[in-house]
Amino acid sequence: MSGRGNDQRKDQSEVRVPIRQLPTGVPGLDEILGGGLPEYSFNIIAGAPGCGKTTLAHQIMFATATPERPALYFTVLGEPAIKMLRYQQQFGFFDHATMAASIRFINLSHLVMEQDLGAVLDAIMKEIETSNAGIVVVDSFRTVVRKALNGLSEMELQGFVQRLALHLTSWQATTFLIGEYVEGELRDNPVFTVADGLFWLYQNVERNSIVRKMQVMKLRGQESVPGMHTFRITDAGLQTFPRTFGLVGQSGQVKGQRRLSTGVSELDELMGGGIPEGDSLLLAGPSGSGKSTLGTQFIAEGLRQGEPGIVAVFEEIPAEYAQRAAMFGFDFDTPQRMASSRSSISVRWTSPSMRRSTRSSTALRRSAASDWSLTRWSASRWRWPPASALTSASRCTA
Amino acid sequence: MRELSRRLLVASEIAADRSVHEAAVMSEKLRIPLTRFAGAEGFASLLRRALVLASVEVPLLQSIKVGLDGRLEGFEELAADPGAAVKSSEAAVAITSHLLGLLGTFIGEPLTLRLVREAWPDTSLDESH
Repeated sequence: MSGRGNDQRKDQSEVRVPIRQLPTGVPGLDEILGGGLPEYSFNIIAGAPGCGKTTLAHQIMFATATPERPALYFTVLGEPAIKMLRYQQQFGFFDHATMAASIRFINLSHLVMEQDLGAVLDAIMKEIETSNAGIVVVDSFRTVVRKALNGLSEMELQGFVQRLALHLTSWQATTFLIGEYVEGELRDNPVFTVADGLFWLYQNVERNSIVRKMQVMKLRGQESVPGMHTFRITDAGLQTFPRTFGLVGQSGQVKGQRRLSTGVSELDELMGGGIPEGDSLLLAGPSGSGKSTLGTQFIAEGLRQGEPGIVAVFEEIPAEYAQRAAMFGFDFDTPQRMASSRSSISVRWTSPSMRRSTRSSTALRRSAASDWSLTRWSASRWRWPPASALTSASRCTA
Repeated sequence: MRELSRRLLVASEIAADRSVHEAAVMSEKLRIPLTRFAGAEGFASLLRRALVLASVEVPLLQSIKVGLDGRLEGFEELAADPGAAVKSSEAAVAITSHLLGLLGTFIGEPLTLRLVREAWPDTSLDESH
């Protein structure tokens, strides 16, 4: 690329219209979206019943609504607002002050039942014009469309969706249409053509577990992390676990040149001084061959050298793990009580319901980032270790 | 966009004994290139939003409506109000600057100015705004 070409490209980026990104209030989701939700975008949240669509919309709404730019939640023949609010206020993100000052629920069922799409559009626009809404949710939009399809051509439906998107954008509203769609409907559906963002939520059975996943199938205006991202719904609401380190795709931590002792001097010698700092090491072998013991020695050696560490255990509780370490003469009880010290460890037990690779590794990565400048990891019986998720720590044995 | 709107108003050379409101003249000038660009409904929608935002600054605009064809309506009633005549330029500038401001938010300044040039081909837009 010539210098002139670079200058032209720079000039272009300087005049490009900036798209503000709204924080979603969903941990991990901004990272997946490449920074946040594009302001004034027209989005669809799709998925089967029970996969978390309404909760996701509520969480975003509570994070973004203000008294000056409130949120309007239009309900249409789906879950009645009274029941919806009863359940949604059980989540941690539900804030009564925000609800009172910045969020309004409007029932459009009678209009959908008795009148045409034009009347629905007029009602939505009237509410938006009066309230200066910044966030608009229609739940469920699928119901609106299903009713309208009786006696309406596809062209007329497309016209309605386009007019809805046009008006909502003109009025500077960021919109979410919620619908129980199945993937086969993606083709030839005007709703998906007009949408700027398409968030698809899944709830799949994997062996005996239920795994929730999310895919950003479309996002105009900015790059998002492609692929399936695991999420869970807890008392706090949705929490997503990006498949990778966001769009960066790598840890910001530069690997050191140091060799870390395994705690077995002969093994260190064989390895040229120990394990290179920052590496992820897979320790494999049959049952009883000493994998966990070597991992324990690795952590114990770190404690001896004043390096903090994390032990992720999947099949023992932390107290049992510490007892086993004590049998080898390692004290893991005292360092666990010294959380702020550099010579401390954290033994993290991951419950069966959390045993999904991305979720577990992200949770551990977060604890590593928040607790200390971590140098040592040991994960006992780690399942499907995603190396990318572990590179923020300087080493890991599994 | 406010300074640009003032300059556009001056450039429009609307006669003092005009029979139409300055705001109507300004929006009518923008209506043709913007309708070509965003469609009649798109222009009307943007103008409606701009009108609401401008009404906060110039309350007499609260009685003005945007017609189905994208034209501002209701200035006849305002003509009887002597206070409204005084605020006429202010109202025109408020609506125009909000309309251009909205366009700037969505498509950026360079493209907005290109559309403005189509409406006011003989006016220089080079000065800072």
